[in-house]
Parts: sequence; structure tokens; C-alpha cells
Amino acid sequence: MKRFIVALCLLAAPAALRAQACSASPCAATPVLTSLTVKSSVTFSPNGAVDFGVVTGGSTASVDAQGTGLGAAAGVILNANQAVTVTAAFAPLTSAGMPNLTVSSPSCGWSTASSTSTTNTTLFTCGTGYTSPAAGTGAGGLYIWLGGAVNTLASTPAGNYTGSATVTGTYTAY
Amino acid sequence: MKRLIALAALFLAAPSLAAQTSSAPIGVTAKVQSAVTLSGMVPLDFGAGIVPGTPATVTPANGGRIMASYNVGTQLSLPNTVTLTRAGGGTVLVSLSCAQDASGTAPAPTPFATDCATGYGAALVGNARTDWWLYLGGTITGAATASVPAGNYTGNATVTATYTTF
Repeated sequence: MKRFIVALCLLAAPAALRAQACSASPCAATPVLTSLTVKSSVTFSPNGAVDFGVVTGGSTASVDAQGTGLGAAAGVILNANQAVTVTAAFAPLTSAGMPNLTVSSPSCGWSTASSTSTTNTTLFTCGTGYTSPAAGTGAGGLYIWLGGAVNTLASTPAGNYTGSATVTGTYTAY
Repeated sequence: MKRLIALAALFLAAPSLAAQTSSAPIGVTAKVQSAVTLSGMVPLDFGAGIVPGTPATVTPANGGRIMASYNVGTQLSLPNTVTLTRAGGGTVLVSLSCAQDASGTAPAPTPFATDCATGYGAALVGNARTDWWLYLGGTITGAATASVPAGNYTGNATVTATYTTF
């Protein structure tokens, strides 16, 4: 019975833990396993502010992530050493004492160029997100562009409305 | 009359009972075969994680190790570098440092005289089968991890045992 138990233990042991008997010289079969973990490095840095433009009440102020529209797209620069799924969401625009303005048709895009255009920027769905390359963004980073539309009513009070957009990066942390 | 006959018979028989010796050497040889094993591997692990661009070092005493058992003088060597790879891409070069000791728990094993690739000449202790430990440390430059993807990297440092085969 003892012999049977010993045999089972040998079979279950990982190969690396078993003795490597050399059958001839030189013998080069046993490695020392070597491992390391490179930690995650993911950062967002602001790259301007989205401006929906100036409109009269009852019309729509808009600019998409490629810069098409009344205003100017802006966003963040992603620097990462791994794949990151980027999503974005807009909060309503507010002005003290005024009704909130909701951002409709949010628009998101990414580019490697530092300026956005229909040529440079690839659009993606803000809520679903875009996943950056697994090999990382490189030192220059990736540009994430945001835009959208703000519908106003004829009764919308005049004023400056401000809000924010939150860009979220989801990744495996090492 | 009977006694006389018996005595004569004894005299006649005496020459043929003298001791006779003869010797010849017979060769006796044996061969004990070489037996070299490597076992008890402890991995070289750089720990919880390296911040990209930051150098990292693990000393041999705190790194990997493996035990060589041998009944013949054996040269034990490892590569000077090993390239670790990541599933999905990315490599990190590790420069290895080697040391040796009679104990598997040495706090300060003796570094190899030259480098890992030149190796260490492990001799028999007390003309008997001997167990000897190799210790493996490593160094990673900051540049090696500055631009590689995050993740887990693994590799193998192969131990080579060179000896006379009997």
C-alpha cells in the first residue's frame, strides 16, 4: 500500500519538482523558471474642453468627435501599456437658476493624430467603448475625442451652460 | 612382521605428500556509472510587479535555486541572460547572476568566479556523492520595461551539467 501511495505522489508532482537525471553529458534539460510582472500604467490627461458652440434658442448646438459641427471637439489623451476599454458619458449642462440642458447623441472617437478630423478620427459608440491596442498606446498616447448635441427650446434662457464628461478606462490591473 | 611392512609403506609415501603451491593474478574491475541529477528547483520571481521604466534586481540569495547531485566532478553553468516573454507579445531581457553553496538555505552564497555561462566546477566532497546548490538572481534595466505591455512574463534559464561519463 505504501508503494502505491508513493507512486501516485510522483505522478501528481509537477515536472519541475521532479529530479532531472542526466542520461548523458552535457545535460541541459532542467530550467530554472523565471518570471516577472510589469505593472499597469494607465493615465488620462485632459486635452481641451468640448465646446458645443453658440446657438439661438430653439436650435441645436452640436459638434461630433471628428470636429464636424458648430463647436469644437476635445477630449483626453490616453497613455497605457496595455489594452484599455474607453467609454464616456456626459452630465447635463447647467447654469445657475436655469434649466439643465441634456447632451444628446454623444459622439466619441479616437485618433493617433493630435487633431481630429474625418480622416484622423475613428468614431466609436461612447457607451460601448473602444479598446486600445494590447501592446499599449506608445509614448505619444491615443487621442480620445468627444462631441455631441445640445437641443434648446425657444424658451431656453440665454446664458453660459457648463457641464462635464467623464471618460472611463477599464483594464486588467497587473 | 606386520609393523615392519607398515613403516616401509610410510617412507615410500612421504615424497608424494609434500605441499605444492601455484599462484596467478586475476584482474578485478568495476565501473560505477556517472550519476548526475538536478532537482529541487525554486523559481526566480521578481515579485508583485515592476513599475514600467524602473530597474529591478533580485539577488541570488533571494532568487531561484536548484540542487545538483553528482558522483563525478561536474561543471554547472547557466546562460548569462534570459528573455522573458508574455502571451500576446512583449519581451523583457533579464541579466542573470549566479552563485553556489553547499547549503540550500545559504544567506550569502558565493558568486560564480566569472559569470553564469562560464559556470562553476562542482567537485566531490569527501570522495562521495555530493549535493550542491546553485543560486540564481537577476537584474532588469529600467529601459527593458519602459515600453513593454503590462502583464506576466515568464522564461526558463536552463542549467547545463557537463561531466565525464563513466
